[in-house]
Amino acid sequence: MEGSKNPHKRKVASVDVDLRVFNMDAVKSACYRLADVGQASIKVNPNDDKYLLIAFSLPSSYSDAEVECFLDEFNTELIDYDLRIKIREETAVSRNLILAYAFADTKLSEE
Amino acid sequence: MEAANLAKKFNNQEYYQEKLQDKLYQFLPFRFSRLNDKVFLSNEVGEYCLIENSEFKKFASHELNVNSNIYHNLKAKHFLFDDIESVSLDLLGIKLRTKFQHIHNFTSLHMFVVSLRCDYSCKYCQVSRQSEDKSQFDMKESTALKGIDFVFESPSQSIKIEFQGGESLLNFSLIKFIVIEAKKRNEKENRDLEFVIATNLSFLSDEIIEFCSEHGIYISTSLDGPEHLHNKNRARPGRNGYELTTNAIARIRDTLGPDKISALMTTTEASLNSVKEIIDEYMSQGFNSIFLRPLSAYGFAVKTREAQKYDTSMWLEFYKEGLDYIIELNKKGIFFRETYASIILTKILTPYNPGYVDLQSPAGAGSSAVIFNYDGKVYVSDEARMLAEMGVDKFLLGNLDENTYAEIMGSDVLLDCLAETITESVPMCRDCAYQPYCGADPVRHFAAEGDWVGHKAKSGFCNKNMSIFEHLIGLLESDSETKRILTSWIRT
Repeated sequence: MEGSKNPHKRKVASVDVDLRVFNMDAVKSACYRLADVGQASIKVNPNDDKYLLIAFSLPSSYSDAEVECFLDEFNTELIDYDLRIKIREETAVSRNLILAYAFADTKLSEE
Repeated sequence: MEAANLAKKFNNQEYYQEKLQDKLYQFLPFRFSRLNDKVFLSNEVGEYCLIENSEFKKFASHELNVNSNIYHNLKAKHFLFDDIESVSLDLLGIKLRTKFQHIHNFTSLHMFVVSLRCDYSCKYCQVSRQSEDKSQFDMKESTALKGIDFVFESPSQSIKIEFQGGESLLNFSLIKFIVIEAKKRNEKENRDLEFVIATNLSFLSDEIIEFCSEHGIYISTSLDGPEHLHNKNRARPGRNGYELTTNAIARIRDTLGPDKISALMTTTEASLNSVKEIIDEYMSQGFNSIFLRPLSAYGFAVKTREAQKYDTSMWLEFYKEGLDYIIELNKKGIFFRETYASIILTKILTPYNPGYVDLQSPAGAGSSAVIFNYDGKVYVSDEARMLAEMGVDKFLLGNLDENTYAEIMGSDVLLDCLAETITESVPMCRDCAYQPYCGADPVRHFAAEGDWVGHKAKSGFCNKNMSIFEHLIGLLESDSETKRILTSWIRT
């Protein structure tokens, strides 16, 4: 992980994500979640397509400690979103059953 | 897929039962968010658990001890099941149907903007009012009649007709006309019909009070706080607006009864350091609740830049200070409720929908409430009407004088707005543990970001609501007396 300044007065922090470990949707969701602080640029590593290269554009006022804190937060969000996908998959059937129980007797339009 | 056919597309329950071979329990659908150093879980109907990080890790890995208290708590609140009985699924299904009952009922609140004229010069006015003498800004009787026809096209058993403005009492003759015509129609329709007049009370008279008494009409007014603050925010040329308002409130209490009058405040920059004084003012005027509302960025509030004078974090400080003060009052034996908190607490602690339009998914705009402007134009909400006065007609559904009910309520504007903003489907909301308590606000997001979904990570609406949800949950978990007080605020 590294940070550097760019000519447009934002600090850039980069991180690699292993797609063998994390779902791509989880990566995007985590980036979206933190977009109010850091704008993400996501690319596939040209040398190894199992890895994503993510560059976050952060406020130039951020100290190194704040950059580290942001990347820790991203890591937590990534793990959480990956878990959410797993939970959604595990509960898809029961969720549909609950919806069926809830609405199967309604008199909504039937054509 | 129509819900009526949904059940026919499923096999029987046993088909879906996985044998619990290598898992101690199965998850029921839930969402989670981290809350300080704990994890907040909510299920499809909003029941929640707040658990330690270590407990969550075990739960998520299917390694929770089946004899532990946390296990029993999660099972009781429908976060997991461990047998082949369908009781959990049945109960969740019933609660989910209760939670979404309002969709089946469809539009209940119908607002009539009987006049855009007003005698006040409030600097934050959101409706781009016109001065008193321009009667071209009054609704015509012919338009009002079409509005009444529209009202009774709604399938909702409960119908609320609310008169808005400008200053609605400037066209009291039309209010009378609408009330009498609507009640005549209701003799056959037999709905639960209710009327509310939103007014600054400047033109309250014996005739108006008598009419309200005869027809059981509720009055809603504006009171921004003690005299200096109210008059600073709500300038009434030539008169003391605070005196007019408070004298009228007292008069209504004495004649119509204390439950027939309510008041709303709007937070301005001048209000930010005075939340306790505002609450004290409400108590001294005999109210037992207050709705601490931020300023909405519409109309004159934008033109005068009032809307830019404070941000969400400043308002949240104001709100939390006010809420803490109200809780302290309750601890001293004074029942007083903060309205927004009571709405959210009802959603957190019960499966019932408190009917607050701005916190619904699908959006309450159009589906739960609709507004008829003085010129016959129909909008999804009062805020949409305000946006239109600023030149943005994005949420115009049609016109009473030109379009049928089916054309208006079946318009692509409404259907797309509802379908594309449903929080169960949009980014970030879909995974948010507070989603069962929140809602879509397409008009606000469009006004702020030019997009009716908005980017939730940057959304002031999302920021505000998540902060309040987390704050209220923290209070519920803090001590038993605070929890008892907050629970007493539930609206059923």
